[in-house]
Amino acid sequence: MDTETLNDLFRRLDTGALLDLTLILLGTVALILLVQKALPWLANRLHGKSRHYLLALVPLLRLIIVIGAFLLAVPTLIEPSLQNMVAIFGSLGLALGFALKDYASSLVAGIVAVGEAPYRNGDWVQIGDTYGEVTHVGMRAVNLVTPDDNLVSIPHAKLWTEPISNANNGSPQLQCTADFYLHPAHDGARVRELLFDVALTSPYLALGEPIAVVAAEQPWGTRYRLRAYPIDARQQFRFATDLTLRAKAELLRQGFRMAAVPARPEPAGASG
Amino acid sequence: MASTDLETEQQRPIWELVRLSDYRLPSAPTATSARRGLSSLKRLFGRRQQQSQGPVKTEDELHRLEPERLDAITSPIDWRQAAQLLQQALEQRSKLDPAWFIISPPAAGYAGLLETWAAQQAAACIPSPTYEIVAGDYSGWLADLPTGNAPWALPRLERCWLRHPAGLGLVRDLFDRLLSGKLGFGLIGCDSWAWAYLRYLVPTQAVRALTLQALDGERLANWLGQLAAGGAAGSPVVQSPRPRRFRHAQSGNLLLAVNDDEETGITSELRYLAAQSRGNPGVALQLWRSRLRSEPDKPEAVEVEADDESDAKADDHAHDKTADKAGENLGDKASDKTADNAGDEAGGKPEVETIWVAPAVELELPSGLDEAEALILHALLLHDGLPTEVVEGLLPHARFQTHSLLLQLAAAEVIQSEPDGCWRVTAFAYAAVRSFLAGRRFLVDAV
Repeated sequence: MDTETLNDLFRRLDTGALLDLTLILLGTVALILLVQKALPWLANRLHGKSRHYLLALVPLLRLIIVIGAFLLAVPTLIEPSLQNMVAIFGSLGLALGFALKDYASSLVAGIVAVGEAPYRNGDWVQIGDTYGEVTHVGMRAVNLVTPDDNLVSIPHAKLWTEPISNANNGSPQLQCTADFYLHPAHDGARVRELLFDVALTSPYLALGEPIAVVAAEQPWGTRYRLRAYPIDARQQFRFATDLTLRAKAELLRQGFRMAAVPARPEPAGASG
Repeated sequence: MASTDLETEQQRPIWELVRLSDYRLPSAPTATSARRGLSSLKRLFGRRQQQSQGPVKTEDELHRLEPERLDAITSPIDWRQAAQLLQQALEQRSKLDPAWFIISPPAAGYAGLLETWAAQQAAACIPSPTYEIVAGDYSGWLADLPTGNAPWALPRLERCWLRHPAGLGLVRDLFDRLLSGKLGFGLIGCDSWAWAYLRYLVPTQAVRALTLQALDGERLANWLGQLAAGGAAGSPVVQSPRPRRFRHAQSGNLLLAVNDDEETGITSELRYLAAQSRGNPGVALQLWRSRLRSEPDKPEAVEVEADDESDAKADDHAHDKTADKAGENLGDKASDKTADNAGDEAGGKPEVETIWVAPAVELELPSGLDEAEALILHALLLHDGLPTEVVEGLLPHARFQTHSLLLQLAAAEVIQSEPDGCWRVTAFAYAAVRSFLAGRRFLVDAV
């Protein structure tokens, strides 16, 4: 492609065209900032489904704004003929494919993430070893805030290779689990009733959602898993803590013994 | 024709026993609903006052009524009529019913209805167990329940459980015995919030749950009129023959007239009061009492009988105005409408006592109420009030933290400590607290 042909593809960027492009760029940035600030601000003043719906709107609106800006900007830059479009986007695709492969992959995955919604703002997800609340679904990456209050940015390209575990999938309901390990000689039915009551009396419990007690026999004792739903997904750790502490206190008060595995001494020479 | 319809409506009985599912909340006037919507939008966008706004404040131009006079005008609820109505309904009951449950919204005081019924029918009235019994060995309390055929009453079921693993056994065993028919017939009162929770604990669908129908504007006007006249018709309380007029302190419009020829109709102010209190007589009475005022230096303001006819017109716009203007027009209105006793007596006309009603104020909860406060308020409502040490034991926070929050909520007049040692949500804050909890998806009552 010689210089003359390349010049034919693009329009002359006179002052008017530059002004148009500047306005489109500024407008796009302003709109995106507005959407990204205003909707989460409003959503955080709400509770339940409305909060999740509003948060989930942010990436979708941003995508619409970017596409709109792109459609406005392209005719200003390029003579809008089929031949020109194919030539420009073909070259651009090739360049991105080689030089910015991962970045482009994340951008495409970002569009897929908006469409398929494997995670939305407000969801609690596990991607790889990271578990946290989705606080921002960007063009290239998703931001999670972990229970330790760390912000983790994960590129959307993980969608292609990693399983995404979503704990609440766009709804405020999120199942929490508390584990208990008891000495095997005990009345299991009584423990099940007691754990059920512990969940039922937790002030965080979403009443009406199912409560389940799952038991499994292990070589060192009996493991019980108490599963229930808090009123709000953001209460999950406080809820699990409340279940754990109150159930433990009640089990001990009623004379149940916790399973205890004695610490095994390290084999000699293992440290060397 | 309209007045005939109005008269027919005004003759409806004040108390009506209905199924819980038939409870109908009184509707607020349209202007009020719009104002509430605007107010909640303002709250959503953070345009709220930083300081908590308390309930009705004393206006400089008005004096609160002296307690004796207040009691004379708004005496405590007399449940005798309602108890007779209840007995009439019970006479029609199916012999298969093991118990009837009377569900009471907070502060409505239906426990008093059951106590009155038990006294009228000479039925056993079972006292509530202590919290130690509920969370400990309750077998003795259960064993003491009547087992014969004679009906009995348990006015406060909400005192028979605690939201704690050790606090559920008593109410479960009680239901087992009731449904097995071992206890004869019981008339059991229960707070509406506790009842909402108990359906996750015991088979509440298997028993008959009733409540008193909400007081709408018409019923509320009749009832407040009866109270101001000195008691319910037919009650042994001597009715005051003195005419009384309740006028809006801001507009001067007549809201209610007692022992008086002047007709008021049902004003939007009273419809608003009915809606504001969710048809709950206890809340409505407390809100009404808090708004009654007398003129300064004229505690016994007396009106000339011949009033202008415009008084009877509805005061549709009266309560739309803000509380800080309360009494603004009072001086003029009062001077226009009042005269000294001598003049009345000389003319042979009955003395008319005027009581001024301050504009309604909606209590807004203090800004910054969060999850910890929500848990406390919810626990208090579920148990119809709790003493400090019990509420501290039920919630997941440190005791000092819960104690501190209780004091903060009390300072904001959202809760108050009552003579029985329990913290309860105040009648003024109840509607706002209910809305706050519902917005956070907490379990709320059905009425």
